[in-house]
Amino acid sequence: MSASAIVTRHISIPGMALTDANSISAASSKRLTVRLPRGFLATLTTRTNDHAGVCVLEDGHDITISSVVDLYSSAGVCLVKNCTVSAVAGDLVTFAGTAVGSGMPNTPGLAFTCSAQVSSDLAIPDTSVIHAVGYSANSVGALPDAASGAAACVTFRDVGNSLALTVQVAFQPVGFDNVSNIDAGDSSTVIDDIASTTIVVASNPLRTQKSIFQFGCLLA
Amino acid sequence: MIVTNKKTYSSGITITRSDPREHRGVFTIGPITIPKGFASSSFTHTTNSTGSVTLPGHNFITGDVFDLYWSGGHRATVTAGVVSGDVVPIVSTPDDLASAGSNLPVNGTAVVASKQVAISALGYYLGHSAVQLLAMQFTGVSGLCYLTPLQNPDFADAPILFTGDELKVYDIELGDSNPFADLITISEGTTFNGIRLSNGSTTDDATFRLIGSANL
Repeated sequence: MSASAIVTRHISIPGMALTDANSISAASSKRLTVRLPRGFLATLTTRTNDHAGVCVLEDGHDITISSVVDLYSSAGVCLVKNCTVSAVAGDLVTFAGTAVGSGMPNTPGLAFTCSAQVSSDLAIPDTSVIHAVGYSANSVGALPDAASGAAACVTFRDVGNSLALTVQVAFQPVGFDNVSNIDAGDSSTVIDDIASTTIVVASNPLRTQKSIFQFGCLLA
Repeated sequence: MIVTNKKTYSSGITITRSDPREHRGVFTIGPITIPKGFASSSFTHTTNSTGSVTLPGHNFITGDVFDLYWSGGHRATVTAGVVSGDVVPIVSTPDDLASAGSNLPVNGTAVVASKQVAISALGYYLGHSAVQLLAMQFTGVSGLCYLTPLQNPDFADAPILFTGDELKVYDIELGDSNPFADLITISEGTTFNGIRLSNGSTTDDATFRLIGSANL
């Protein structure tokens, strides 16, 4: 079944606006909307290394053994990705992740955010040609401070759950570029990797509000 | 001044990148109407840069500067020799310039001759390193746009070719190259910038608009 997308551009200053709309047709499209629950306040009690340790989560958390979580600074910047929880004793949680992100600071008592990854199916054949792609992350509620650098960690995974690509999707209004009309010559950081994707996992860098991750692409 | 650069993907879901910036200065040019060109009834190739073209109904006079369009090519900034009736000689082209475009085509090629519209962009300094964003919109079939010091057209920069209705956006702040950057060393301080435009259509006038912002 054929599909189409419209990519519009709008450049404006006081007194003049330039706008265009490009219609793109392709064999099919994929789209995804994922609701990301808020993260939980965590306090570091033991730092094992850059990407492992023990923390105390706020009351009411729903993290369980074998949960996969991402850890963010209080400003929403990724510290450690893909942490597997190996032990949960009440609010005390033991985690070990991959050396992705800036690493866990060596600061006893550090407050940070622990967010469970949400996994979604997104079957894109590995022979796909991508014509246009867009993705975004938006908080449900007030936006974070523009200067905070808050960004959701999003990982595209291949068959067998192997890592294809991790991107960090900035929240508006932080500058970012996530709408690409490939047919018109735009480049995108994800086009080489989303072909062959089967699963997308994402987490919310904010503990004050829910977020939504959206992804769409036009492919043949 | 707030400058907004927004892009939207819409296919079942709508994803919008909205990227407002605050720049100290903004400028606009246009809308400028670019008159349609004239179709040739014959074309004679003398050399790669000279020849003559017969243009029924034209309004060219001796010394006019115009651009030539044909299927698969264009030649910018050619000068009309002594016009005689419908025959307009092509006596010179700046073949030492990047702006010249292709060599003139073979005898009998159907060409469109379009007089250039010169626009003063006094004080805009479009190629200045402080320029953060440029957007140009051409509404028409095809057209050429290039920046030049008005007082010395031989320094014309490589032209920007528009094909159909087209919006070109140069987000220099985010890494795009300024298409007019090459001219700054000769346009700043010695003379002023101008923009020259022509229209490759023989049936419809075209329109040009420009938006820019800078942190001067």
